[in-house]
Amino acid sequence: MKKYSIILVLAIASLQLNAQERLWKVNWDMNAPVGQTAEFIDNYSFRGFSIEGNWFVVDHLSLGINFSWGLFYENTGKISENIANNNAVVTGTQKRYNNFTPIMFNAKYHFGDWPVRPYIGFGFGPAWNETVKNIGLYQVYNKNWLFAIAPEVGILIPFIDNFGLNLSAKYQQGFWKDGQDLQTFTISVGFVFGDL
Amino acid sequence: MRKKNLSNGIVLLSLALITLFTGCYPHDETSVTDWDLSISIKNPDFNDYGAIQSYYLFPYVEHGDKENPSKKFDDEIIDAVQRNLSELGWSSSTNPENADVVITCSALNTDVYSYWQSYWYPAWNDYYYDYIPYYPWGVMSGISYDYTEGTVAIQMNYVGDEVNVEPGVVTQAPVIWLGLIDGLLNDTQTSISTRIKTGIDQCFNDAPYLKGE
Repeated sequence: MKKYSIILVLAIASLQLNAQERLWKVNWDMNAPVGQTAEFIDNYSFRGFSIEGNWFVVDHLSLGINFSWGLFYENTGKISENIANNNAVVTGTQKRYNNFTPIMFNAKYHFGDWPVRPYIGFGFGPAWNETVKNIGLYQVYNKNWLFAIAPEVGILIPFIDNFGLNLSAKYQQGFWKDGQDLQTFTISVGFVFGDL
Repeated sequence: MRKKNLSNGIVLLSLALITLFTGCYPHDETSVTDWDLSISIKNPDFNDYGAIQSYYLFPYVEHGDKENPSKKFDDEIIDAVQRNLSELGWSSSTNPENADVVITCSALNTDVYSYWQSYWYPAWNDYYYDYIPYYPWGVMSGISYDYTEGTVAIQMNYVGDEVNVEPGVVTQAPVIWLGLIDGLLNDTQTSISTRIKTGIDQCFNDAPYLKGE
């Protein structure tokens, strides 16, 4: 009886712990374009942020949602571009923008209860992607919702019980059938709040 | 209390980040030449550019249907086109009937006026339109801008022979090349003149096939 009582108490304590354990992250995102995104804009960007919530469903494993925004920008200077099956050449200064807003549902595995807590994760979800090319007095833009995935590795460094530092790196891939894919490598630095 | 402070902290940090990053949306210092555009278009159905040896250039600039158009840059346009045609190695003809191609220049000025409105709460636009000045963010209520856009078109028609541009269709004097330059006319006369010449040169540079290359 005593044995079962202990198990019951531990189970209830575990459930309460899981129900309470959650993490909130607010990050500064630094993005590097790769692949097709880099073909459009080949500049690093320090304009980005993300907000994320993680809820632990069992020990070490959390489910969460991440909302982020990033922006790439490049002033190409005066360049010539072939269009219309190479039957026309357009020359001018191009100002290119790529705004992207992924909304990722993710699962993360947090290793151990060490002073620092590494984690790996995988996210998927919709991503709003908008590419704009200003050339002369004209603008060419494409915008669409993409399906995106984002594998991620990171580390949490607690300062106190409920506050710490989050460092992570992830690759984001948004698939655009009729246009330019969204492909970024993102470093996030931010604060984490919650039950560390 | 601790949870409430935590939530407030997250909200404040999030708002600070959003303000910080949306506030630094990139806008370069812009010079008027950044708005200049040159476009060079060839006829994909015409492949005999290398056979062109002579041209006739109409010695005036067409000005569309605008009343009292400004003609102060006409001479620069004609001179720049003439110079580029000569550099192609083609000979100038005094009679369009004896030339392989005829070239027509035209220019168009367009006055553009726009009013861009921005409100703190987009959904309130209509209702609060008249009251915007009473709100602190009323200063954000709009930016107006106006400019004059100038476009020069250089059209080249092939008149050497009757030409098949599509299988089974005989077309006389097809357009085989079009050069377009576009930009702002809100600039000094000297600068506009230079930019027109640069734009026309660029159109020809972007069409190496006119030299048979």
